[in-house]
Amino acid sequence: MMNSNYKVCRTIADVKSAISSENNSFDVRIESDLPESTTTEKCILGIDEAGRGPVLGPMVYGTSYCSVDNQSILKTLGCADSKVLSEQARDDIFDGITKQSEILGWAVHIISPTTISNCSFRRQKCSLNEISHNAAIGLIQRVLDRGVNICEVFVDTVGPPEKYQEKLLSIFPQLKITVSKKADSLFPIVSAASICAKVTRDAALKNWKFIERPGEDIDSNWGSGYPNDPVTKEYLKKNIDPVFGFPSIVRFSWSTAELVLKNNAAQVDWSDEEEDEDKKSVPITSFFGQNSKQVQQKTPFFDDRGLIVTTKF
Amino acid sequence: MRLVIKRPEDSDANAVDQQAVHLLPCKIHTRKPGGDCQTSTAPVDRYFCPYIKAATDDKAALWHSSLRGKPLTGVKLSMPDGYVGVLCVGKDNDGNGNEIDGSTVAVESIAGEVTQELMYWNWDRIPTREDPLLSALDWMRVSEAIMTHND
Repeated sequence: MMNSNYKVCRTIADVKSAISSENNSFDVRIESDLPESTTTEKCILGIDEAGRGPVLGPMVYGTSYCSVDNQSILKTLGCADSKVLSEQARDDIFDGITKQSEILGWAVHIISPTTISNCSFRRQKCSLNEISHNAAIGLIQRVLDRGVNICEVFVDTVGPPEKYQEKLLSIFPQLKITVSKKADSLFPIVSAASICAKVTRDAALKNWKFIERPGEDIDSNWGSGYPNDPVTKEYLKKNIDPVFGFPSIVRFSWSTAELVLKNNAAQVDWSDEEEDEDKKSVPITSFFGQNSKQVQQKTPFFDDRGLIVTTKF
Repeated sequence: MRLVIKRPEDSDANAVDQQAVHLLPCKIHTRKPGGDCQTSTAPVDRYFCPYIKAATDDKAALWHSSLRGKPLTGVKLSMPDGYVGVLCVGKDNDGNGNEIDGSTVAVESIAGEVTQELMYWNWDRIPTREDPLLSALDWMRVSEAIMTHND
């Protein structure tokens, strides 16, 4: 996972075209050029996420980093909690970040809705918190691998901050790591990371390539994307394929999405669930005595292989 | 049970030859109970194929995909030498099937031959020789061996 491909982007337009040129069913990783100063001087690094709750679109993890001596640039650019900034303000600040490529570095990991659903529907479920933690770890590792001289890391928490901090410290014992709630409003380097994440998430939604409907006009009237938004619910109901369900912009693992499919698409039984039901319905007495009707196979070879002998030897 | 397959003599049935066949680890109920018996077609090319990706780790020859958000792990399966795969379309058990010598079964209509290969998918489990379908293919080699030694 650690040596996955990153695309280098230098402007917000680069980010948009990177997103629309990729298959959005898969994760996309984007990073800035490496600022020279960050490999020699001591650096701070911030991490935050965007798009955790919506039923539509990717979740984006962002990081930004700069040398301790250069951090005043963050306040100059206006880096503050991305949630209190307007979309335009965020775009402007991101534009400012990309223009400071000599001193500010950044990277984003776009976690596709398919990845999120797949993790949730694994046989051994991987929680959204775990996905988040892994994304953060991957970003820190990536920046370290590029040779950035990180000394201190600030992370906006997901789940209990103490446990998360412990986990990160066990992986990166050489770093000073602070995990806290509301880190994006406390530390400008996290605000910058949060803006990178949020701008990328918005760009990903707006430039989403519907691979399922090549050349078609796309209905993008999906409202806020949050599951309790009636416009979003209506969008889900209108965009169903009876067999496959939704296009891959939707997080199938969200209960809202599951419910809409249950009522509006073909039922799908997964082999294992079926097997379990079969097992339950066998009466225990069937294990005693001989079942005279059962055909005696010559060897378990055929049973083991799901084959039935149809002609007599 | 006995299944008689009539291979079409004309080559029209070869039209779907080149279509990829995916064996999925689930049953899709495309017909509503009590509804009409129409078979739906599924836009596999648009809603399934684009999600297929070769596994990046060094476990060569494995593939990943996604169906309804469930992660699938698959392998490409080639037909053994001297065999062809046949794609059959079943009919519901409505009693109208052609009966052959008392025991069941309808002659299924044949949609085409799978001449090359098919994809075998598991839900988040690496396909192995222990899987029923993959191990069923053992029989071909075993039967050849038996036939040879009977002579």
